[in-house]
Amino acid sequence: MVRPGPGCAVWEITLRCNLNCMHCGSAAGKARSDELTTDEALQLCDDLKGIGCQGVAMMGGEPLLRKDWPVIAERVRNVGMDLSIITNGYKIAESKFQQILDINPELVTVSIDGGHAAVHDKIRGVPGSFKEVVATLRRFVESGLPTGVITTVHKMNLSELPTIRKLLLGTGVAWQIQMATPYGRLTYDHVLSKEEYYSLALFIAATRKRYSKKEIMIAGAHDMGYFSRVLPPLQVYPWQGCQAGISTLGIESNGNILGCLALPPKFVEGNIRERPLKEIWNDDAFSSYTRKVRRTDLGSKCASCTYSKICKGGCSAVSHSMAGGLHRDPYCLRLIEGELKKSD
Amino acid sequence: MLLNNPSSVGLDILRTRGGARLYQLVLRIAGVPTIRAMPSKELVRLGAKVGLEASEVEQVAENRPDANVFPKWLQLILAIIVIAGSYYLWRRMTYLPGTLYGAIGPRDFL
Repeated sequence: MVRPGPGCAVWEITLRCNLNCMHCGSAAGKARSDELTTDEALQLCDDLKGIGCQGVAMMGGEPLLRKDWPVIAERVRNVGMDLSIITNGYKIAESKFQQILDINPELVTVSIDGGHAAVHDKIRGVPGSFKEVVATLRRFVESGLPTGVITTVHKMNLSELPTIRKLLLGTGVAWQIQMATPYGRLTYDHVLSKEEYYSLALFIAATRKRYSKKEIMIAGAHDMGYFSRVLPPLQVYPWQGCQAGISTLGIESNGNILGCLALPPKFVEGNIRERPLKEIWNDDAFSSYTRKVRRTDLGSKCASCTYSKICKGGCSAVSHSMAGGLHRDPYCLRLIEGELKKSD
Repeated sequence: MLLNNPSSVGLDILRTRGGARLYQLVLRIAGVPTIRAMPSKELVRLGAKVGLEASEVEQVAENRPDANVFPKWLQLILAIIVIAGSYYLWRRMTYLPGTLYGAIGPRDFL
């Protein structure tokens, strides 16, 4: 059976990174020993287009450390897919900046994890990284490129949000907020408690209420939801269940394919060196954990929820890392509201 | 409480489909009294953790759907919306075209 292509392929073009973030889900640092060659990467661009993929989010590691990134980016554009680049914004030389401008991606995103240099630098593991990323952000904004900021929230930076907001107000950037999950380098003791997660949701909702889109565009990522009884929706698009292997696709730098790049290696379901992407994507068994969810797959609390058919148990990565199984995401606003009510 | 009331499902769907204004309009046309719900101490406490004042939390939570009382006829209309809406969602819930989940950009807010 031929399926519609993904809206977006999230592609780690290299695992090499010049920062050492405590929350990095892929524990990036050194490049993988078997990363795709330039020719293989270019072929993959064609193959992505071939399955009907609409856009590529190029990330890492730090994608701009891969020497042939402009060639890959160019091919993505040439075959007619949207391109977004997710960078840590660290040490971007003028020549590299100019290359980005020339390629003119649909979106360029930098990561800011603290409103103060001390916090951001500690999280990112490199002194001076805050100063660099703020300067990079300003350059992107001033150049007129559509720009986004991603903040990954855990215990160390929850209280930084008002300061980051102050930094971003009036810049015209889109601010994506996501919760850090305990994969890669992040340890469980740094993961937000459910109460802290609710505080984070309140922050997003209150910011949306208080400021216009001209002042700041803020939204929760795929792990911020779902179907709250109290708060308005936090995401840009209505939640329709985990989109791993449905409207998104994850690609590791060695050609491993999985439904979503946020998931751990256990979820790798093929490699483009062994099997064509088209075959992997159209395989009936691919990403069956999201494509063929049965009511019996859901955790008991999710199965009894009014929205079980739409939601299907929240984010697969959060559910797997925090509940030990899929379709039972404990970081659910509706669920937490019920628990808070009981404790009242 | 409407926690187990089917009409609350319809309202939530209106909200989740981005129909907050429609939701307000329905309430206004129906002349439904909206009970101004003060946020619980819990919400204020949780908001304080991220530097929110009580008034900000109150603004977010003031239109919470569980604070409204609905007449029977409105419940019936909402139940119809739920059935039609559920059918629509069921038809399209397996694929979300064009979703750029990689990163959110300014154009996603247009």
